[in-house]
Amino acid sequence: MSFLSPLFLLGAAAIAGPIIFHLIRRATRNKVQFSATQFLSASPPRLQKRSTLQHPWLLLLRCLIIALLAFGFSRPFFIKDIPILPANSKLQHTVILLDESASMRRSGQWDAAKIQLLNWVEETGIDHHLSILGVSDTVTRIVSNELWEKTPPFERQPLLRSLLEDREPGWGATYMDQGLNAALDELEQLAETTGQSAIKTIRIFSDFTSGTRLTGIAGRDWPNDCVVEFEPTQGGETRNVGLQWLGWSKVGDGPKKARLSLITSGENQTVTIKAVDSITGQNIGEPQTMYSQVGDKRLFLFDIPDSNTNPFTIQVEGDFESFDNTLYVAPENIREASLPYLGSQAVDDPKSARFYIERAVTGWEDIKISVTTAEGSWEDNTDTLLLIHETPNQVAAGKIKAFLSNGGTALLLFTEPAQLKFIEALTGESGWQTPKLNRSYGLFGTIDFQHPVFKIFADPRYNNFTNVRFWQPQALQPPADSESRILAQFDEGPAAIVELKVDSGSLIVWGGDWTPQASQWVLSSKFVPWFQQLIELSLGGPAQPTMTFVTDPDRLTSTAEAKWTPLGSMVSSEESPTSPGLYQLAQDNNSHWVALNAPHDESRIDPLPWDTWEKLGVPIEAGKLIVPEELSEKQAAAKNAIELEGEQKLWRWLLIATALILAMESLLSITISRRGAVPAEA
Amino acid sequence: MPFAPSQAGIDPQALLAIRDLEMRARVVVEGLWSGLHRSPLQGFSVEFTEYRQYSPGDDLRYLDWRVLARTDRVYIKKFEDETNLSCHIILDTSRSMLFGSLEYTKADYARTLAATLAYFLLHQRDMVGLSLFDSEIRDYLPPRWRPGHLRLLLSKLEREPEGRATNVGKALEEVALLNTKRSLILLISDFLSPPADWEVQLGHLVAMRHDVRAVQILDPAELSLEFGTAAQWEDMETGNKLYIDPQVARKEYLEKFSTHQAQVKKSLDERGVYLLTASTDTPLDFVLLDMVQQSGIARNMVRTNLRRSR
Repeated sequence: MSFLSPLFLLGAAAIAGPIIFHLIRRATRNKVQFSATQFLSASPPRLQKRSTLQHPWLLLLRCLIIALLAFGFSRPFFIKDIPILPANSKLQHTVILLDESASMRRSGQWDAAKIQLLNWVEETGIDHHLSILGVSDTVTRIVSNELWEKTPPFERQPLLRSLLEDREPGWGATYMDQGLNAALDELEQLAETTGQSAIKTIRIFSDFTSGTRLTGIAGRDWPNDCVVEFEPTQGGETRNVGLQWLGWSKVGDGPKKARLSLITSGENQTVTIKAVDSITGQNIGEPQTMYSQVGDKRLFLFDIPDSNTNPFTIQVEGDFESFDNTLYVAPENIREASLPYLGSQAVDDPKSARFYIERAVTGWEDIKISVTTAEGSWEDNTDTLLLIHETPNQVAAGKIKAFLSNGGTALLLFTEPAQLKFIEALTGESGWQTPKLNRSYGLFGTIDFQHPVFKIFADPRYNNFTNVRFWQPQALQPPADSESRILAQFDEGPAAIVELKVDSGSLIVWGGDWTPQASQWVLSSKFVPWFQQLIELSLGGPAQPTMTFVTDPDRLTSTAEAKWTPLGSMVSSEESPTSPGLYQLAQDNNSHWVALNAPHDESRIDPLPWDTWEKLGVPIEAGKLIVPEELSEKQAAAKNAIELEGEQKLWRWLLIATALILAMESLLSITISRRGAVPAEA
Repeated sequence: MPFAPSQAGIDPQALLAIRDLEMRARVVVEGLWSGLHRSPLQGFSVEFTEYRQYSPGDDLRYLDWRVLARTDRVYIKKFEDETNLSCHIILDTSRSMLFGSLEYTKADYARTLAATLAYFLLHQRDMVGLSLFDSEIRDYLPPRWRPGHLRLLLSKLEREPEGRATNVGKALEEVALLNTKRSLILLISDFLSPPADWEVQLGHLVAMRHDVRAVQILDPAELSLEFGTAAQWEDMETGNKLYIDPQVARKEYLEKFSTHQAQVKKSLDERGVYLLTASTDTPLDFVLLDMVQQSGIARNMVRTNLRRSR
């Protein structure tokens, strides 16, 4: 038998205490009351003779308690020749997470990770129940447990080598939280498959950069017997400068500027930033020399002349790591809309509706809008939204119908009952009426917030329309079998806004005039957003961005039939691209440049602080963070002793024995004290 | 001892097992009376009369007209009034009286004795008063004879002692102030305090022509220290603690205690106060008999004894 903490055995010397106390007469604890102590003198306390120890059984128990405690604290264990290590005795379920994010593209990282993984498998993991997952922004299975089990042990390493040989890291971000969750599921599955208890390990082969996402595992309940081990890739460059795209910036009439941020890792650097036209290969603007500082988020603006309409790249020169030195930029997809106005109201009369329509669209950047007076000669079918503010004559009605049939959108301000005929002619439905309202003014009662034009007001914070009054409302009453859709109703019941479908186009009929004398609508804060939604509707929906991360190309597409053509290639594909670059995206009879970039978090290659794992409650076994060194003989012996002691846990039994003896001691001392409490004999 | 040890008395343990104090007193007194009948102390009974010269302010009802007619001198005839004995019992109720190595305490014994005496005296139409004291007089009942007085007196005696320290001197001083009329004063205490604390006041009482008698109640353990084990001994009055091994301390204790007893006896003797020391294992009727014999409070010997004591 040996002891882990033999110094505690010295505590057994405390046995002397109870022996001495038992030698001293305990009479001092008894109390006798007497009436005439003035005639008494104090007697000196006396020691009993050695042969007359008081309550020897009690003493024995007390000594035993102290001895057992000292013995227990010294952590005894039985020495065995071959320490039984958990690794040899139990099944091992291991899930390996191999980082395949963009940061692994750094020079040497990927090869190092592959070699480390292969070495580990050869040395340790060959007998494990194993499965290997690749982690970037998605989790992919590299080796399934099924395949692993099926393969004979001597073929496993060659199999893995061949599987990894052609494998390349992707361009995605490092969503390690996603990987860990998948690994835990995998471990559960392994446990179900084998049906035996095993040591569960998740081993991560990664560069562990600070751009790694871990937030998804905060608060996760970890299985008790699961351990996460780390295998950081060795070597590689630690200095890097990357670029983050923040958007376009334009102040007044000045030139357009690209807003960018420099991400610096490792140490401060001086780099040159230049923009290169991807089609002509010429520099755009002047290259800038920047001093980038670690820890600072360096923001800067890069002038891009308005004349540039080609896609381009912004490049970092002078950096030690090149995998993130190019940022692809596609020009903005600016749409244009023309709004012909069919009516007689003047542009500059504040009492006219036209006046407010002009002002509502002034200054829009993302859609360039022009409002024109169409009059009788209007016949352009490429227009976006037709505004009808009069009763059209027959010629005009025909043109309007043709426009709508081609998929156009029109707004009719229904100001006089004569327009009912025009509506009936358009829809082919008879029986449209305009009922009179009884109250002095109308209010919107019910609004269809599902419709695109009203959708932005669906939030309860914005859906109060009661401060918009209509003094000259023109209510509508569609026939019972009408296919029209009522978008809003007056509070008295009849429809206020109706959408009519004419072939593929739609006509929105507004019951009443928009002049300030007729209603408060154009003066209300809801008018401009509503009108913008109407124009967006007529343009086929909101604008699609032209730039995004390579991990999320679908953000740029509005239909499933989009086609991607890489810059400089003639071959287009319906498959979403997987690498960063510039692409010609064709969808909805429209084609424009888009840019895909690697997630900027991957440029942050500073090492992830190790305490992050502990803070998130990841079960890390002590000492696993450091690559274990060769243990000296003495250290190995100490380690074995710790493991043996931890396995045998004799101290637990000693503590139980102590508790039992303590209970016996209490009983005995209670009995003795009760016996002693009998009135003193005279 | 003033009583014959061969006489069979009432076992104090059995007597004190009776809860009712009046019953206890009756048991003792009735036994005593039967004893008195057989007693050779039975004697004559004479009405005492006294003539004294009239002084202004005297009640004219007691003027002896015959003497006036005969001698032409104004005399007052006094009788009956002084024939009734006025007895005042002063009982120590300090904490030290709560000591008892037997099944009862000195206080139990003392109050039974006081109750017995009161019962005896009241039954022969004598007036009995009562003072309970510890550091001072806690309860006072003037000497009376009237129906219900016994019950009142017994109810006072029933009270458990509360005080701690004993101050016999102060109690006697207060009794002297309250009892101006000459009377028999019975002081029942354990007299464990030094005589110097109370002898002056006692002398004062004697000087007031009170007939003072002392009964010292002691526990057998106090007399022999055949009691207890080696332990912390706590003084019942002061709360002082001492480690005492009775085996070791006995010899010295007995020496000191006998010295104290001698001092008490001497002090009382010097003032003409009769001391009766009673151990609590002594039958009560013996003590009562001794009291009666020594103080002459039995009706048929009142005169003799009073006269003798003066």
